[in-house]
Formats: sequence, C-alpha cells, structure tokens
Amino acid sequence: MHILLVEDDPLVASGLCAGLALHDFTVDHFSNAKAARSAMFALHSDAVILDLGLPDEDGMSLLREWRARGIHTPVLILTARDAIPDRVAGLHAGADDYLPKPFDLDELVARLKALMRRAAGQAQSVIEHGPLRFDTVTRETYWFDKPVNLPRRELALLEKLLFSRGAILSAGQIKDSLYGFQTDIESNALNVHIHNLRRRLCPEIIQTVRGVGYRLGKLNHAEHGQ
Amino acid sequence: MSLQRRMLLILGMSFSLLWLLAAFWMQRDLEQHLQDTLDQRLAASARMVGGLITQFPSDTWPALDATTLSASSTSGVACQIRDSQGSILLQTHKELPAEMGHAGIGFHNHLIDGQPWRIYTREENGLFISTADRLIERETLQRSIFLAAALPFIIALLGSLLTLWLGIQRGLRPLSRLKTALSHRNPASATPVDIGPTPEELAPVIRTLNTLLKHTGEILGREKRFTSDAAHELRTPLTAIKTHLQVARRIGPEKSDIYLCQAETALARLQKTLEQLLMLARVESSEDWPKSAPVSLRYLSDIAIADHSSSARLRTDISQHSILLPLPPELISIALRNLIDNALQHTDGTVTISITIEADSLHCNITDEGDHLSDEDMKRITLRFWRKPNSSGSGLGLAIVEAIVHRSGGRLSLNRESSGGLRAELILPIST
Repeated sequence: MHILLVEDDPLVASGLCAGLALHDFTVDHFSNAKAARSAMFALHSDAVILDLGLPDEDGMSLLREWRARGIHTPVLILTARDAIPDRVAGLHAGADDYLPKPFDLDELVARLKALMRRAAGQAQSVIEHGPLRFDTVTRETYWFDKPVNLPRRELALLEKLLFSRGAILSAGQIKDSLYGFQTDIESNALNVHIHNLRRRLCPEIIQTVRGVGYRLGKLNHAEHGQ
Repeated sequence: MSLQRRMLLILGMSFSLLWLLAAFWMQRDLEQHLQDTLDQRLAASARMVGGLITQFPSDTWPALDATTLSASSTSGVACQIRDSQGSILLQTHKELPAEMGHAGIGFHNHLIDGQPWRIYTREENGLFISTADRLIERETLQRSIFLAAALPFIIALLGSLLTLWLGIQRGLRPLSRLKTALSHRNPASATPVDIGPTPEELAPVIRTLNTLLKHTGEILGREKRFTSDAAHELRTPLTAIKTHLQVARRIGPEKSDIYLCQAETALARLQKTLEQLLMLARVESSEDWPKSAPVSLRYLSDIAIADHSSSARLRTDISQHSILLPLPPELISIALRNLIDNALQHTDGTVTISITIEADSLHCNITDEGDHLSDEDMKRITLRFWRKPNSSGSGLGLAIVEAIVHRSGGRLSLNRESSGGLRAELILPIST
C-alpha cells in the first residue's frame, strides 16, 4: 500500500520512511506543501501522513483543499501540537485520525491499517475471499487453510486487490501502490507479478478488464479444491 | 451591603426624617392657628351678641324666662347672657350652669358637667355675655383637619420613597449590568466586557478593564504560543530519536548503524534546544549575576569566536581596552557568539566583527554578507523558535541575545545592509 508522507523535518521523515518500509508500505516523502500537492494529484496513494507545521503552508489548509476537491484518501495527522483544540480542528478539517508526536511506530502502523480497512469498508482484520484468507494485521495469507508465502510485491498486489473489494483498478493505480514514485521499474514488472500470483493461487484470482485494468476475481470454493 | 441598598437606606431615612420634622412643625403651627381662630370665633360671637342686646331696653331682661331661648344643646357655640347678679337672662344651651361667669372676663377653660369647655366672657352694659364651645369638638375638628392634611402627605412620602427606589435602581442599572457581565464570564476569557450604554463615570473603569484584559490576552497568547512552539521543538527531535531507535531494533544489529547515527543527530539537536531553553530561562529569571571584574575586549571576542577561531571567514576589528561590563563577560560572549553563529550560518562570505567603545557604551557590530531577508522575515526574526526554513538552528539564539541585552540595560538592533546582509548592533552600557 502506498503512503504519501508529508513531513518537513528530515530526521523524522527518514525514520518514518525506514519504519514504514519495514512494514512493507511503499512510502514517498515530501517536505513541503507545494510538493505534496502535486504528488497527491500525480499518485494514487492509499493513505496520507500529514505533518501540520510545514515551512510553506499550514498542513491544515492543504487538507481542507484536498477535501474540498473531493479527494477522500484517508489522512492521518501527525504533529507535535497536541492541544485538544488543535486535534479537534484537525479532525474537523477532514482528517481521519490524529497522532501526536512522539508516537510509537507500531501504533502508527496499526492506525494506518485501520484507516485503510475502514476506507475499504472492512471492519474485521481478516478478509476472506472464497478459499483465500488474508490477515490485514500480520499479512499472513492462507489458501484453503494452508499458509502461502508470497514475495513482497505479490503480497502487496494481492493486498491492494483485496482492499479494493472488486472495484476495477487501473495499472497506474496498482503500480503506484506497489512502487510509488520509484522510476526504475521495468515496463512489464506488473504483468510478471500478476502472472506469478495467478500461478501461485489460481488464474481467476485476478480478472483482467480489457482496456481498463484489473480486479479481484470471483472465486468459487469448490472449483479450486485441491 | 450593596450600594443600592445603602443609598436607599440613607436617602430613604433622611427623606422620612425631613418629612416627619416638617409634618411635626406644620401640626404645631396648625394647632396654634386653629385654637386662635376658634377663640376669635368665640369673641366675635360674644361681640355680636353684645351688639344685639344693647339694642334692647335694659328692662326687657327680667321678664324673660331663661329657658325660653334655649336651643339644641348638641354642638356649636353656646351663649349665655347674665345680669350683674349672675342670673341667667338668655342662653342657647339650657344645661349651661350660671358658674360660667365664675371664670371671669376673657378666655378660660372650664369643666361643665365633667366636660371641658372653652369660655369667653365679656361685659356689655352691665350684662355678662359668655360664649363657649366644647374642647372635645375642637379636638374633633382638629383631628379631621389633620387627617385631611396628613393623607396626601403620607401618600406623597410613600410616593417619593417609591420614586427614590425606582430612581436608584434605574440609575445603578449600568452597575448591575456590569456585575452580571462579570459574574457570568469565564475567568480565563480575555474577551472585552460589554455592558451596552455606559455612563460617563463607569466608562474609564470599563476602558481600563478592557485594556487590561486585552493585554492579559496577548500575554496569555504569547505564553500559549511559546509553550506550543517549545513542545513542537522538543517533540520533533524526540520523535526522530524514537522512530530511528525502533527501526534500528527491528532491523537488527548488522544494519542498524545508520539509524542509530540518525538518532544521535536528533539527540544532539534536542540537547541544543534544551540547553538554549535553559539558558533563556536563566537569563530571564531573577537570578543575580555578579558584576564582572575589568575584562579586555580581546578576551570577550576570544570566547565568542572560540568555536570558529580558525575560520577564514571571520574578520575582526577589536580595540585594546579593558572595561567593566554590567553582566559576567561569559554571558555577553554568549550573546556575541549567537550573533556570530547566525551570521556564519546565513552567509558563505565574510563576517565582520567590530567591538569598539564610544562614550560610555560598548558597540559590537556583526555584519554578514548573507542572503536577503524578506520584510516578513525581519518582522519575525526575533520571535522565539522562528528560523529560516531549512535552517538547523533552534530559533532561540536571537531570543537569548535579546534577553541578555535586556538584562544588561543595553539594546539590540538588526538592520539589513544595502548589500543584502544583516547588521546586528549590540550596544551595552559599561564603566571603564
């Protein structure tokens, strides 16, 4: 899943990038509001971590602008200003969560996952899809109750598909989620991951919608019995 | 006791007392006049009767029976005419005794049948004419006159007390509005007090109160901002340390070096901010600093540039003097060092330091060839925690300089040079 990190302090940002990468998030970091604004339009992020004290503009006005433009990406505000009125103002401005600094990395990750689950309309931490069972917290995947070890990118691809709940995803959306702004991607990398995932689970797991993109395929429990 | 109640009590009591005194006085006067008037009525009646009887021949009287002329005895003026022997010739009230004459000529009070009478007797051609009225009647008359006079009097008194009460209440309404406004407000609030139309006497009070509230509000706002900024400045490096340490632990010892390094960098920043904050608190506290012994300007500048002594970018112009400073030289050096650090940080060019003595003050000029500061920057430059974006400073350096300058009774001015750099001028009072 792709995280857009907007944080002006380079030390905090580098720590966050490393910490989130440990949890297999794809993170792109921007240190001012201007860059974050363009990134928001260029990328399909799954969540935003927003610091309020940005050098060029208040993070709150950036958030209001996004919400006014109908951008519903979950936003978690991360700030050192923890007065209750600050928190309330942040939530009123359209933030989905508020975490004061300093925070615990595990808590941040748990909150991010909860935000993404909520955005996907998923209340439980375990998603079941036909014979597939996916734990959103531990990212353990079971296929017919047997654990499957998926490589990082394929796991991310599966996660993205499961969170989109059958909606059609463009190749660009999936790529952003897997790679972010990373540019040195081979052109057929996504196809390779899709192919591998189909091979490991079953071909119907990903349904290609010609000319549009991909979506999570409908699975029948009995058909794939092994 | 409330102001309203006190005014009401004082004015009400004085009012009532004055009215009562007036009433007492009037009653006494009235009584005297009434008695005089009634006496005059008796005398006039007697004179009239006297005038009438002189018209008759003197031998008319013995033929008359005294009771003949007796009229109803209930009320009014009674009249009795006697001859010189005391025999009653004529009388209006038949129960009147002959002793009426015993009282003698003129006005007298006399008991007749246990009732007090007022009697007037005069002599006319050998006849004695007595006119009399009952004192009870007089009292009854007097009472009804008093009653007639007292009723409007009492109504007027009550009316004036009521008017007084209403007037005081109305007059003091701005005060009671102020009381309500003050008792209903949040003590922590700094919003101005508004009680609508304000009388002249209260206007300065409200004005002063609102000025004070505004001032307090500003101080509170500054305090709050400072606390919030301080929290931000302390929490940010703390967050960096915590995150990097957590990553380092998770990633394992072989790859953790870079994260530990980052944590240390953040720790150094935290330490610097803390030290600056503590320095600021010390300078601003009421702590007594010893006066310094004479110190050379060279020594002063040496401590100030100790960290940068080898820098080729520093140009110094320091006169050879020894002076007495108002604060320990180490503290003055901190101010100088902060200014020099700022200058070096914001320029790649030369920083010129000149320390000279003019009259009885020490002039320190630190000029850099740094980047342009905008008008907006100049406004915020001494704000606590303000720093140019991407600067590594704590944003407290100039605040510390200002605090030191304030303690020493000197002044600091920051001006943009035409070349674009900043010139900081520190002027401190000294005794050579």
